[in-house]
Amino acid sequence: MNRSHLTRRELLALGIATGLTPNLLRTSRAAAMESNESPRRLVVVELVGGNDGLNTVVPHTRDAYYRARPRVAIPAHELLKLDADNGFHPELPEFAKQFEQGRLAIVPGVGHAELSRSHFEARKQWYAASLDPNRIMLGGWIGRAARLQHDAEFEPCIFVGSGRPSPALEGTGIAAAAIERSNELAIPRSVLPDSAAPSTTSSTSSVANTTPLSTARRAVETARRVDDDLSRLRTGSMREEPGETKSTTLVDRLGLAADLLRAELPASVIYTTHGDYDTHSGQPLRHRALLSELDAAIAEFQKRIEASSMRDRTLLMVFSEFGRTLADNGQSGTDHGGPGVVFLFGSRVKPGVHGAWPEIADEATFLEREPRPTTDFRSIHATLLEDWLGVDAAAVIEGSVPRIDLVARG
Amino acid sequence: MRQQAKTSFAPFVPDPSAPWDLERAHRLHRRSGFGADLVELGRDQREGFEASLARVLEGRVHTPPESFDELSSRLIRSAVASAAPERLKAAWLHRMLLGPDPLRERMTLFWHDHFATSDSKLASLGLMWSQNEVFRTHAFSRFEDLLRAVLADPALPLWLDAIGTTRNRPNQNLGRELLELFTLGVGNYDENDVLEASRALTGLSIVNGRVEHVAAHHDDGWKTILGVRDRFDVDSLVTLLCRQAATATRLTRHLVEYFVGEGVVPPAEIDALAREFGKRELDVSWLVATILRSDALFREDARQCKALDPVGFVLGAVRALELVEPTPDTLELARYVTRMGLDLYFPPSVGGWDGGASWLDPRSLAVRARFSDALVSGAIPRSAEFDPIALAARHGFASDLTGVAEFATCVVLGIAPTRVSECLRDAVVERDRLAGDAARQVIARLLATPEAQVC
Repeated sequence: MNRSHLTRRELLALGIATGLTPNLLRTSRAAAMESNESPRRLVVVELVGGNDGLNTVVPHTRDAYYRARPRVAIPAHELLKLDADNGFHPELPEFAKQFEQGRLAIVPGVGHAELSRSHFEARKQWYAASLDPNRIMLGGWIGRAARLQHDAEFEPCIFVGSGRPSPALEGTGIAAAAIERSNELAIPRSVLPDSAAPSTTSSTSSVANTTPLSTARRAVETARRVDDDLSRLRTGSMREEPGETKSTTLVDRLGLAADLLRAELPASVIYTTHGDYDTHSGQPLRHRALLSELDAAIAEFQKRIEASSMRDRTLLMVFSEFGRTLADNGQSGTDHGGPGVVFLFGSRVKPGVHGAWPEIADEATFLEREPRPTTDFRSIHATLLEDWLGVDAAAVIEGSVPRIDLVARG
Repeated sequence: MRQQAKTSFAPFVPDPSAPWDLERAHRLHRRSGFGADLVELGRDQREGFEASLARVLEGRVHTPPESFDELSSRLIRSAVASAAPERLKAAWLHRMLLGPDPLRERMTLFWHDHFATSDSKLASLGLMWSQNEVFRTHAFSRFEDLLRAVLADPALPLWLDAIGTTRNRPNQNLGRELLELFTLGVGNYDENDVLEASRALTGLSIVNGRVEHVAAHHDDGWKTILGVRDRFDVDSLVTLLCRQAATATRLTRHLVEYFVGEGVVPPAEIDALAREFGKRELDVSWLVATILRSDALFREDARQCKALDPVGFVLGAVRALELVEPTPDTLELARYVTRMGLDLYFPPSVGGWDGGASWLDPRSLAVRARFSDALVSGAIPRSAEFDPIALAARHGFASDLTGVAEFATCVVLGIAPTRVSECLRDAVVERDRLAGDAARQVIARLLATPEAQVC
């Protein structure tokens, strides 16, 4: 029985023991920030639930598209111009504008024959950048990259939204903070004096053995540290408890993301989610409303980033775990389907369409007539890691996947 | 032979190396319900493990206030009528906190998570509460009976687009989640099983608030599901799914994680328990009793291996500090629980909450710290003032900071005061470091520690 005394930590936490734990990381982080003048930033927007790629970019010259989905197909004359065979959904004017102006790269047919049609499994595959969903246990693609770069102070990432941070951001020993408002991580110093805050040194040394208790310690440490950074964003006096529990809109979330970027916060990746794109029923109206909000949010985000010093250092990626069935399901909806479309916005992308549009078979059985993927989803991860964030992709993604030549040099 | 290498799910038998003490009584209540106060923990220690467990299993842990049932029903009725989800959250928290049967409420929450249905789509608190009552009524039933009742109640079929789906183009939403989330789990079926199960589920409709089967819209043709060929409909599909070993394994694993923790028990032992559960026709009351009685829950190294969920943390604090009557503003408690990531009736997806250690993310910990401060400082409205020194004194602790720190350590962390008093006595000399109401702050600080987020 070795529990006969409160630990030193327990006493420290009560604020009734003496001694300070120096916060080593603050010092080295500050130094790193000074030495690294223009780090690049990645913003990820995950469309949760399986966005219908076929109605986001519509293959309007294919009869099979119109025959298979009489209840949800979008007439050609409503589409916004993309290329000869494809048009943007009518609620995506900003996408069309950015495409025309050369700030949007589109990767069609993104998926894999082994990508699951379960939301949860497919998301794990995307988060892990792996065909094996169980590899998420080792951390997500961004979390693992952060872990690799830990000595170089690749910062923990920030998740903007409700709920827990995306597993994509998690890596053993890395805690990502989730926020919707800039004051949510505040812990009053009367409750947690700096002298009692768990120290970073203990959180990184407990890598091999993650327990609920070590997770809680790391979370408290991360909350305090990130809140210190966020305090720069806050003006005036802050009420102790945010009264609002309503979820924010994507416009709010990308607005906060733009604020975080413009304040030059250390986080390398900002991750947010949108929707419930799982349109098994009532798709036309629901999908229209979702894309309209997505388009407006990106328009506002781009406007604010364009006008800032972050203009050439920010890339925004939009993806979804899978697309939807070519055929509608009789309830003005579509079910879980094959490949989707990935969008990358920024002044440093090579604009245009990268890769082939999936073939749409005219006649085949239900499962066979789904469009086939043309680009491995892990190529998106590899490209962003290696060509945008400067991380060795091979150390994060098992096997070799081709990268896509979509990041402009220099 | 039976004595060597005690298995995780063998009944716990207290002995001198693993005594039935404060810490274990504390753990029993934190795991099976929403915590206990020092009077209840003292009673349990005196009366022994079996008597304490029996109270939990029989739903007589707490003595509810007079006319609790009537008050609770009235709160729920008026919340449903108000169409304000916050009020229905508060009404459920009121039940969890004051009701006599916390284990049943814990299981109701477990099923709400398992069959995660969201009011974001239904926009009907009446439907949400009707489903909640199905979970409560069948909390310990055979799983097959629960599953049939959940499918016969409108909320889940509406949520997953199964109402009005016809044989011509079956909607796959319910069919897929039924196999993936409610019964078998991934890896135990293929895409064709999803299609065929979706055909079996066609023809559901709502008549007078009940789910009915409309023969004209039902696909009564032959289907092959999991290698079995039959003219499956909802009833025969449920029968088939509940006989699969994968269903028993999935439920067993989730319940073990819920009460014991994640990665604590070796998978082989969970599989063995699942086989017994299968033999008992998925009798949930047997499984829950077996887990709560098990060595896995009370062995020495089971300490601190489970994260407290938001209701466990919030209601546990209210109970430990004897703030139950008068009750703090339950609307305010509900808001804190929501901010900590548990938005009752609004799960993040059909997959429910991630649970486990994922409750302990930085934002949630910050909210927990601010809640701790608000609860003891009176920022959460309550009709009587909280007096920690008087409370500690009532339990025989000294009327000073040492006494308060000892009391709080004892009831919040479950650590016996005789074992900590010596080291605290030295430490409290530093009390001038605490500003304001020092006694309350000691408690708030303790509640906000990483140690107080686990049990």
